[in-house]
Amino acid sequence: MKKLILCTCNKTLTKWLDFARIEKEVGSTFESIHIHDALCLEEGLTFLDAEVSKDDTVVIGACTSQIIGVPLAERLKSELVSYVPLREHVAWVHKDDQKGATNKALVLLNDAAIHVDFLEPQTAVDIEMEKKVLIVGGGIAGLKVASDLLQLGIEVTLLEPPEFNSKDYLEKNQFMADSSTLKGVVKDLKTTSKGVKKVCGTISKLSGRAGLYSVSLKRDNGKEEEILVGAIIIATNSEHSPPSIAKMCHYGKTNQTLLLSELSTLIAKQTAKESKTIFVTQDPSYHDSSVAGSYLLREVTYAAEKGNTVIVAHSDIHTKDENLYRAARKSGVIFIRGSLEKVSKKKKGLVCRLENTLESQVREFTVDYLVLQTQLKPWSGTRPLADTLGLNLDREGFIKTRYAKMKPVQTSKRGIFIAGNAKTPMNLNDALASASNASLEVFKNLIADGERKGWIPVVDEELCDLCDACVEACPNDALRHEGDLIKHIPMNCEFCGICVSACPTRAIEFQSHSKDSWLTRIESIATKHKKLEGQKPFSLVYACSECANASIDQAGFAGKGYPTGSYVIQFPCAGMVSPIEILKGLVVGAEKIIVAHCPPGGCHHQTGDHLSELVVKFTQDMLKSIGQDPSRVKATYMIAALPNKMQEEVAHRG
Amino acid sequence: MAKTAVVIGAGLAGIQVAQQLTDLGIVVHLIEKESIIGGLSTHLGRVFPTGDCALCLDASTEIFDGQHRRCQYRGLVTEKKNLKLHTMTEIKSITEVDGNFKISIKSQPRYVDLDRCVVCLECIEVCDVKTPDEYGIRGGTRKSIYRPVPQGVPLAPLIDMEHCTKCGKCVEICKVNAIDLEEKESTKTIKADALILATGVEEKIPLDFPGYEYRTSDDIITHAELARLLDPAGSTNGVVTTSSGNNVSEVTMVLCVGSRDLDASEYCSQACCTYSLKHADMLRDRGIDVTICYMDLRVPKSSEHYLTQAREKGVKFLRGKPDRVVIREGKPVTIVEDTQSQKRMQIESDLVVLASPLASLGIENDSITDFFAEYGFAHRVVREGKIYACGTATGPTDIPTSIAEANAVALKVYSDLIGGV
Ligand code: SF4
Ligand code: SF4
Ligand code: SF4
Ligand code: SF4
Ligand code: SF4
Repeated sequence: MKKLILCTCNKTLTKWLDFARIEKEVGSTFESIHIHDALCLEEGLTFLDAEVSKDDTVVIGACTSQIIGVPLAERLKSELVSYVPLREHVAWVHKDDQKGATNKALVLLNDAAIHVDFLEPQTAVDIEMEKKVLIVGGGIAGLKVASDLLQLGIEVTLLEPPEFNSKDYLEKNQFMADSSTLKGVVKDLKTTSKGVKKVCGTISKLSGRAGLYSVSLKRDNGKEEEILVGAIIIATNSEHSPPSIAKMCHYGKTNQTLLLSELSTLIAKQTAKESKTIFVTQDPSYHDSSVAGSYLLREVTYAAEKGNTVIVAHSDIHTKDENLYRAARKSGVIFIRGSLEKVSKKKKGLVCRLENTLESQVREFTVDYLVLQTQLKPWSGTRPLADTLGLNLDREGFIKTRYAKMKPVQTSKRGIFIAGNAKTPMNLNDALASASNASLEVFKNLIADGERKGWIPVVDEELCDLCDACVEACPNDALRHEGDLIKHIPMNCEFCGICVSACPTRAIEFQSHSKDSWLTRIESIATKHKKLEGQKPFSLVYACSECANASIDQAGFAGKGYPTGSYVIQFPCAGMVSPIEILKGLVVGAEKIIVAHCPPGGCHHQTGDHLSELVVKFTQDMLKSIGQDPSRVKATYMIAALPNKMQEEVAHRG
Repeated sequence: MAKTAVVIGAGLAGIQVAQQLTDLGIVVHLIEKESIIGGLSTHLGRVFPTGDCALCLDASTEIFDGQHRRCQYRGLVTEKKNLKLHTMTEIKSITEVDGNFKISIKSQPRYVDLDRCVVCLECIEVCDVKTPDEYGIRGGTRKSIYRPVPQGVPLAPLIDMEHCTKCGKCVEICKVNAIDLEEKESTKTIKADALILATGVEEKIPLDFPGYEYRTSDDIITHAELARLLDPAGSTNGVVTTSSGNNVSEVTMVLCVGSRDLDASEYCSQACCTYSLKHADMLRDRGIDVTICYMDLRVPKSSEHYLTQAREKGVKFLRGKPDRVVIREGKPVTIVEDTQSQKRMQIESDLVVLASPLASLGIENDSITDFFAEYGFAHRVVREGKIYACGTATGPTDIPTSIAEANAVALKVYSDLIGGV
């Protein structure tokens, strides 16, 4: 049976919505209508338990699905439910227009009635996990992950890069902390990671899926092997590289110019009497990380304490430990602002010419050694590794995280994580946290069993041209071209629907959200609107179900009202919207179509924000070329922190 | 029997660690002294490095196997079976019996029953009492029964009894009987196997910072206050105004006010450089001129784009720490020596924003102060196998680092309490 269940929210929505009229006018669409006063409370849930059976299709007109949907997901016996957020999207934002609000409610309830007809039960995906982990090491974080996971009883293989010698941990990670702390930690980690299986070599190929990756390893001894793992953690190191001013400083041409990483060796060899003048400089065009700044401070303090005259030319000193800065000054290090403009080799030493950028004050220093602040770059093997594994890199060539704010160890690929300096240069303390964070995510993944549920894309073999557009569009490597089939990998899929919008022949149907369903719904919204509102203009908002939907909900909470005649259609991801749905909206008479997505770079499915902008741009160009007004179509981001966005976007002309 | 952990502080780190532990099968009591969760982020609106909402959570396993993030209002913090959230609650005492903790807590009445309220907001509508809004600035008000911020969780309102006249109008309108004006404070004792400090930091109001007339003028403000001005859901609807209500066209920002200072907070607060840049960007987008006076720009790599953007958008940078910010003819004037040109400058602007230190909140509660060390911050492992700390309770930092640490601590607690698979 098709049922409509409405909630008055403590008898308050009746102020802004005419429930009697709603009941009367949508009556024929549903087989039964119930009006409750508090669906979300125990009495409401009990009522729903009794009222809804497994085979019913249900439309719930209450508060936002984000609130009422949570308890109902557990309590409703039927999965075939469509929610109409009468409270946040209608009543609370159209407080001064009862008639318009009721009309809008009628349009949306009618739409939901059509929507439920298209709903299919979600597809269950079995979660099977190979309970083994591969760590690509080289950094201290790798040892930490190994040690964490071993303690939890997970089988771990640690792959060290070919040139890597395990004794190098101390030397290669010296920038991360002072040497005694580092020594202690490395010693501990080596003990606690004893049981790890170590392999020297490189990854030559990756296949399989999240939870069951097959990794081809090429060992240093020439042997090749294939191992099965549930997850992979990249815990490679950062490497020192000479700054861009190295050439100007005659680095490599004279042994008077050296890198910061070489300074401590020089000082260690020094005898007490040989006090030198050492000029240390940053590259003014490069923004240092705090770990690099702290490293600089430790090294110059050491040099000054040994009796040398140390001058540091800098623009910004970045450190997390202010006391390092204090110690450096106390030890006699001289800090001056400015950038090195010229270095000349003279008999008496290197002459370093420093300019203060603003005032062009020039100062010259004649010194015994010129020391260059190194730049911490990704491990040199990062790019080939990322290519093999299909990972994205950031601007500096480090492995990119999935989402900078909240997903510090997740990569663009499910089942592959990063730890420590593979992400960005970090100090020991942060790297250890990052490693344990990665261990946690992997562990949670591996112990998860059972199933997850979602609507998945289904490819129609007849219509499919094997053009690979969907394979390339899928942000999660969940579609693969195998033989003459496009195969779906449910374990990788995030149910976003992006693949659907990419398909030129429209051969992919997304369960419950078929092309036909969108077109039918858009058409019926227009028809119903015109029937109730006549000539009044209307706009359609194609909103992603994450940030954009949240922003629209928050418009209600924050009291940011907007005109009626504004209909939100929820897409799983804005990246699922194709020009066809946009054009359909225009054809049925919408004054404006807004495609609302997550903030730039913040799509929950990684690429939807960008894709929807492209799709809208494409549609606008198309409109222009046929002499239509492209400004009727717009893509924009909406977030909960900007509850005024909806208000800004749907203000009607006139 | 299931193990139990108590997390003190429901800021981003506390929520994170609590969610992770419940995902791993540990029962968690999350203790928050405010009426809503989120801590410092409830004030911030938008945050770096991504420029989106401050009140965003890393989703737990229930949502797309944890691959997603979720807004606070639709996160599952109040819905998870093994997570018991205690708001308006403080720790009274902690005792140790047979290696376990007995933690007694005291909760202030909310006067609104969280299990009954359907968040219809009608009670707020009918309440006649208006009082200044803690989240508002420039004269923003709220009712005596109110919700602090739109996304605030729990969603239900609370009553500020100090101002309530007990007129009973709200009680009468609430047809689900969620309001009880006679509710009393309650106490409770929780037995726990582990304790996690996620008490966080607050922006230390620079009331008595010498030379800076914060106290005398409402045109000298902090960044948390600026964030309220910039918030479209705030009391000024996102319009940046002076105390006399005029639109602002020039803003001066002073960095390191009381941080890195042996006479005030000795440490660097880590986040202020970047949120100053973030705010400078937002001000530039509104066409407002910005000058930033700084000592060193300490911006994490993940937020470097804010620095680039600020330069591109024409934010003016001046290297030098102002020694005074005074009010002259009603306008704040920043007196600073530009260390580059060695010229003394007097910069007049409509608004001066002070980057004041982020100070530990944990040390404010006597029953836990002992767990904190230098500068009032705790070590990640306070006591092996028993007491842990994460987020800004271990020192000021940015959100990604906080989250990573919370996750790391969750794993440590799990392996200490439960062990392997
Ligand atoms: S694009 Fe989205 S829905 Fe399509 S296969 Fe990839 S993850 Fe799944
Ligand atoms: S709207 Fe904001 S809080 Fe919600 S998911 Fe998006 S970024 Fe996070
Ligand atoms: S307390 Fe009552 S009147 Fe107030 S929001 Fe909750 S349910 Fe509505
Ligand atoms: S009882 Fe108090 S909170 Fe309720 S309406 Fe009256 S004054 Fe407001
Ligand atoms: S982060 Fe920047 S403004 Fe804040 S204390 Fe450190 S240097 Fe000063």
